Amino acid sequence: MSQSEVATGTPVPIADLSKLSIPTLPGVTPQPPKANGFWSSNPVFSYLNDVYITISEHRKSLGLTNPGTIENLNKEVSRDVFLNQYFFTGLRADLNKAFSMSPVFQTSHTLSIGSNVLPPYAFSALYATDDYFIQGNIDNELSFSGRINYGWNKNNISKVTLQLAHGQPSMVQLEQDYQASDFSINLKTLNPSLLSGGFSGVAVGSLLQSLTPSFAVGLEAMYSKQPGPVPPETLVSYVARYNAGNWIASAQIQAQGALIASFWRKVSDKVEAGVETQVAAQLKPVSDPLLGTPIGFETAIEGQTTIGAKYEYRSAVFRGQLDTNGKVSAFLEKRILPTVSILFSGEIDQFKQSSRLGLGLQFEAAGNEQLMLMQQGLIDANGNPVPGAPQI
Amino acid sequence: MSGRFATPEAKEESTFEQIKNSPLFTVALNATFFGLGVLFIQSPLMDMLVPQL
Repeated sequence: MSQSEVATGTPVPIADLSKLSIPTLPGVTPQPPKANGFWSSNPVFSYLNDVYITISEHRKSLGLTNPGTIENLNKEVSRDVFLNQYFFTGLRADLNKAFSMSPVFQTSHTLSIGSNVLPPYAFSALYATDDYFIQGNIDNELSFSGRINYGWNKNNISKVTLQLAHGQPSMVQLEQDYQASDFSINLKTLNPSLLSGGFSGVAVGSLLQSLTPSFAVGLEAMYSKQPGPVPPETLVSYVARYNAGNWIASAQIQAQGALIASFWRKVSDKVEAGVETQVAAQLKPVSDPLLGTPIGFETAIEGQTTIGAKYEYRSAVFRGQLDTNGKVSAFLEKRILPTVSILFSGEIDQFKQSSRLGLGLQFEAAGNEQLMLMQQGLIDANGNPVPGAPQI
Repeated sequence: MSGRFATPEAKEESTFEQIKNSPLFTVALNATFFGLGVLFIQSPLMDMLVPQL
């Protein structure tokens, strides 16, 4: 640009403004404008962004880990060590057939006699990919239960559960799980409806937050509203969990008036032990001492402590437990052939002088030759021969 | 018959029964069991129950 052009007032092209040498304060570098300029240049949002970034950096510096979910708070004791999930009575036979491993597709037929819980016949199918998990179960009375889980990413999982039981009200549950780096949120609703003049059903929200790398606290809030002019109910429960690596302690104060404390220890690679105490306030009917007719309710405190252990052997898993109500229980799952297992469960109630017994067989079948060789331990998941296995 | 019911005599609970029937007793008893359970699981006795295969 020549001196004469400036003198005559010729406009400077805007593109050339950056080439002008505008003097700046020493040590100050002008920041380039950001893509979302309004949200970052606005003084209020800029301050909030700074606060958020400071807090998240501080949280990262604490080295917190995800604490798991409230549903799995004492999973190690109540689901892994204790027999609750495994115990059955009578005779049962499970015929499982795996059709493929990727995606997983397998079906199962369960036959049972002499059980109060298991139906005489049930069929279930399972299909799972990296994102989806679909399971359906139907029994001889046409009671159906199904579950669909979909993982949006590794932190977000949506779940739908449906139960259509014969002679019982149907049930649907919608659930969303969010697991962040140092907390977990779970939102679920049971039989939600907006048709009866507002929300009716059950809504539950829970939060579990790590405070240190080992210690986490959380709470669960429940809102329940039946259709009609019934006042809603709200309940809040509090939980805490301490994970020290080889042992885990947890405590729950439930709004219904129950206190649950549990302790789990991994004694060795193959042995785990756990103890759980439940103290609950329950309403007991009070009857008239003269006439024997019920006249009301009184609150009674009942407690139970259970101690148990789980042993994993090469081809067997043994669980045993003992509780303060005098019950001694054991469950054994023993693989007698690569595709056949036997199940044994027994319980003796020493105070009531009664016992229960269960015996079962599990057969595994394969839908193709490769799966059959995998089930027999001859090849691994990639089709390579397992070292030490007999030659095919 | 006189039509009168014999009034059952109210039995006085002994001190032990009063303690045993109080809610605090159930809580304290189970808390003790829990503590003993934790001590047992953490003790060398539990380590000795690991099979040496």
